[in-house]
Amino acid sequence: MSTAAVEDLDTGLILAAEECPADKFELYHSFSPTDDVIIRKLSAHGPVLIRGGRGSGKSALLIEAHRRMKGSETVFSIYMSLRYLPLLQSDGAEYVGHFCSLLSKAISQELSDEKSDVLFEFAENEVALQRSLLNLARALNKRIVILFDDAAHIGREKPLEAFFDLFRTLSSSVISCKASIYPGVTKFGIRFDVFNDSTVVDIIRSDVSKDSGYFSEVIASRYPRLADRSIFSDRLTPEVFAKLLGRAVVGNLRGFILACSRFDDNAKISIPEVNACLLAMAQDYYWPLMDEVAPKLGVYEPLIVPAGEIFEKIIENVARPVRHGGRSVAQDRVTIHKNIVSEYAKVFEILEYLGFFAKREASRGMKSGGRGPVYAINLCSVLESVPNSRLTIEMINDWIEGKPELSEIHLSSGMFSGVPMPTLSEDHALGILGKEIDVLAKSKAYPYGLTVDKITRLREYGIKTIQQLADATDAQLMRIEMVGPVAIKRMRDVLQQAIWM
Amino acid sequence: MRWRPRNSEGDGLKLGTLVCGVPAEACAASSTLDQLSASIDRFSDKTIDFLANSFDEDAKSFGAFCARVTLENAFAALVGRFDAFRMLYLAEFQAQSSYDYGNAAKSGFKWTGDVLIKDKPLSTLWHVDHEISRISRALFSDHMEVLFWKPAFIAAIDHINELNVDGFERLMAIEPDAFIPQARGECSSMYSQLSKGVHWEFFVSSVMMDEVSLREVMTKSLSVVSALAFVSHFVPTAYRALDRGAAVDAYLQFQGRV
Repeated sequence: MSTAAVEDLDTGLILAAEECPADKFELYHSFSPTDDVIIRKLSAHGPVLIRGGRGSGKSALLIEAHRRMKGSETVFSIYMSLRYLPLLQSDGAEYVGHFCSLLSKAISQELSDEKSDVLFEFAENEVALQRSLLNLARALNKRIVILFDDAAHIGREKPLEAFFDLFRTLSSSVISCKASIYPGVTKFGIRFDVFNDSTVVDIIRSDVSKDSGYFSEVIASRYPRLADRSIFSDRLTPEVFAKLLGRAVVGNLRGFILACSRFDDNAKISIPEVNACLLAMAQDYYWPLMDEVAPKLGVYEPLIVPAGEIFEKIIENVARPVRHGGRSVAQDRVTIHKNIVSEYAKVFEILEYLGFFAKREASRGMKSGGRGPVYAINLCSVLESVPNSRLTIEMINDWIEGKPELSEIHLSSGMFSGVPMPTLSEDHALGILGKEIDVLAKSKAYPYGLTVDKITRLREYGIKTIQQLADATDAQLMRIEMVGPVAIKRMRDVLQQAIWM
Repeated sequence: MRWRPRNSEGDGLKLGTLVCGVPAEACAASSTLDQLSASIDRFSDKTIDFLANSFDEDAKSFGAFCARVTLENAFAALVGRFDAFRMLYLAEFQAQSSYDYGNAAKSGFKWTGDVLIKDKPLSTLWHVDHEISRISRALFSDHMEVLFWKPAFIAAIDHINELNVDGFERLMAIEPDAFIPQARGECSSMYSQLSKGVHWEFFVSSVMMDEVSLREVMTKSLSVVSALAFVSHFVPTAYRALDRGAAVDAYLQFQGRV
């Protein structure tokens, strides 16, 4: 798939795939043969969970599967985003009620869009919903695929058990549920067995040594100018450029698009320009990501500080041999003993979710004994920490081909023992909702932010927090002077980006 | 000279070799596996043909059947390679005059009992009060996982890492503890889904498998069988195991065909 994010040049907004206008989706997205396999799994009969970090392209795959099923003679599909605040703030029967109502509306809308004569019986509970869905399948004489986007986010586990219960209950011979989840979702509830009740599909794109053309295709589709050999120096080809950027952001498509967009104004691209881009990404993308995401982590918000410290120690571990002259190229992958990963599980999940690193292998034997997962580290942070932070052709080749020996963090190293781990509270409301709307101003964390003028107008109207802005209706916002449909759309988009991952 | 799988050209490497392993000294067990290997080749080849070509009426009518036979024969062969007694018993029993097509054999090869456990799993794996009859030797039983599959899976991924070869990314992404639970879950649903395609027990057209669903379950069955077959060669006591290098070659060659 070419991109999970779309840049709207008119507004400067960076939009997630689920916010891409339907009529522009095809223009901004193309899909690789590997993507086609995932899309087939999302279209076929059977329950599927698609797992990937933030910006990995889950939504685009779900939307594309829905697009391909439209007009099918055998399948009726519904794409439904679960980005709905009341779902986030409820649990149990209340969650089920919201869910059934939302899904009923989404199905009715889809039937209307398809100009179908069939009506969906609105359902308020799971029994009624199941019955209505079965009746719908019978009336349409088709099987049904329901694609749930944003079903599970880190730090928002409270309603997860209810969701997976519904996922399991609704799945049948004619109803196939598919959902996107993040790495590390563990709270599936007592009724849901992840191995028996679903097939989990991981999105793994961090290894560029094998899939030779993937990121080149993305560039050709999204930034054709960057596929032109003539703008590159002799030592840099478009293929190497694409692979390096893809590997640098450990395959994260949102990061990849942001990195590519930095070359908009470059008439010529050589290694120093790429060097500057990677270092800027470390400063402007990765670290601000921590600030942006922290208040969205709910109960895990206090873990963002130790996450930063642990990541710095991992980086230090791969940079040290270069600093001391033992290596000329820093190691870009690390095996970490499974007991360490287990002890700091949520921290590792947060880092993986944000794309600071990506899990490459689930279990590898270590030289010092024991086993652990292998993580590919983002090259922006690695480059930032090596002496001179200078990118060389040797580094580029070694990193693309995955040549450097793996770094290891042993159980006995005690590397993270100095990192204080906070005690987590039992329940923690999402910090972002209580924040002042000023945080929505344009910044490194929110490059798509609101103008000072709009923030001032909102404040004068009495909307001071993000929760208040989320609760405000369009009609209420329209009463504010100089706020019209365009400004409201922008506010809603920014709000989506702020609240959701 | 080390035995190597045949090249994909000419006769080509087939799934039967990957599942049933290297030819051994002539004996009842080996000839039984030869028989299963031929059957696996026949039906997996047909499955691959269906997938590779335009999905015609034959593919829609018989695709599920071919995949299902491949799945069952492959698991029967793996049971036999891990537990020769069971395979020899079945071979000998079917050769008896008392073996009757018209009657279901209570001791015949069964999905529940030989592949999945028949009874409720024991709450603990090891306990002095466990009766031997409760210790299941089904292919995906908890004891089989601990004694055979998990050590073999770890040996397999370590070997792949030593060789530093491509083509095993899917396996490398699986936790050793999850390999069999995941395969068990996938195989259970595949078996059930393919059964419906075999028996054509569709009374409403909305539940009939369409092309995309059939293609997916057929591809998945070949993928899961080949992964389990590959790992089986890292079980040190398994009968007719390929040597590790040959297992890698055999797996990669088969993946190239699917």
